[in-house]
Amino acid sequence: MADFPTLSINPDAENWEEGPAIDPTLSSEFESGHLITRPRTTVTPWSWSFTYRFMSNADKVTLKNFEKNTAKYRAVEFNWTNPIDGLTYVVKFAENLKYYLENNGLNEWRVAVKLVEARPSSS
Amino acid sequence: MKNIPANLIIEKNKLSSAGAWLILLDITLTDGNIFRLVRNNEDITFCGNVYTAFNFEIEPTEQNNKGEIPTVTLRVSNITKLIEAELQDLNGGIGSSVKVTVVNSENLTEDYSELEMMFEVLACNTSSKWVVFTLGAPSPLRQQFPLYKYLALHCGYRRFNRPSGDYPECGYTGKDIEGITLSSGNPVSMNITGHGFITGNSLSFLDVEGTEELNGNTYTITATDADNFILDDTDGADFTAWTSGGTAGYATCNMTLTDCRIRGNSVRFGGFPGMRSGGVRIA
Repeated sequence: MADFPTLSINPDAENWEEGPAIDPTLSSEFESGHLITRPRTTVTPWSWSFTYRFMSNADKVTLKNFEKNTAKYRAVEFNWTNPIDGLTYVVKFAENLKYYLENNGLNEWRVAVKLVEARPSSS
Repeated sequence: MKNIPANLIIEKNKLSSAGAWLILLDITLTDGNIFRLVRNNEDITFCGNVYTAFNFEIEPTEQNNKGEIPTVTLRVSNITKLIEAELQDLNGGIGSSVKVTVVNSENLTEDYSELEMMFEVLACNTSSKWVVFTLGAPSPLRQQFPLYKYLALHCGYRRFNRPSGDYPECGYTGKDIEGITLSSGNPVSMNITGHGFITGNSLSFLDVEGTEELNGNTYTITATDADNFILDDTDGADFTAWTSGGTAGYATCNMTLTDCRIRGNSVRFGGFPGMRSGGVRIA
């Protein structure tokens, strides 16, 4: 299985988000305001959303080629090492990558990435 | 009144619980294949069977006041084309049965027999994303009548008995093999007295002992004489010595009386040659 490419920068800490990919709980509210709740499924995939700021054009090309040729956009799973906890997860792109031109003169990019676990795991 | 186990009654009445209520499907196709699916993110073992995590949806029952029999729409993901290939072989799986069971993930050993619902597949269509089954109770008004279409010169059986040999309605068995000669560098040679095959025929082989590599496979032949033929593009060195038994027979049939006669099977022909051709006859 392919690995997420090594880039020269880390994701921006400010835009880092992670959590369950779907609402893992089914709930219904009584008239009294109490909730009856159940898990939706036995496991829930985890998702990560983050942004690279001021990405060089070389990194952007690397990422774009990986998305297009290896991950086939959202179709193929790959290994991704979380820079925060250092663990490797099998993930897919949850959304197609978005590339925003950040600084025209320096040809730098802002890239939004959203990943979702491809297989059930207990972590 | 349904007799639901006490543990499940307690479970359903809890305000909060760690157990997820999961929908299980047992789709039994008309060829006997069973797909066991669970709407969940991981596989579940229930009653000794593994239910594969799969994406499907059951839409609400359609009911009206016109006296129609209610139907349920079941949408099963078709991204992997897992079921579609089977459905194409089975006329859309019409007549297959679907059992829907709702289970609690924390109480998988309980008795859910009172919570099972059985349906029959009434209609089926597919798109690139979904296989859509229309489920309901079998209605005599929906059944095909007469059950079979009778044609004069075309066999009404659904399949030819070869190469699998598992369709007794047709019953074509082929001819008994009397000997197989293997020689390195030469094609496999077969002996059947008065075989009747001609060069270019595609033959399938069943129940061969010794030269078991032939079983279930199809080869084009070259007839060398009335009692012998060779299998094209084979090398005797690739096969095990023949010990006994086995049959060789035509691998396909175009379901006509002519083909059936060539196979010597016209006594079991599934058409009705006595009927006049043209028009519809109800038997």
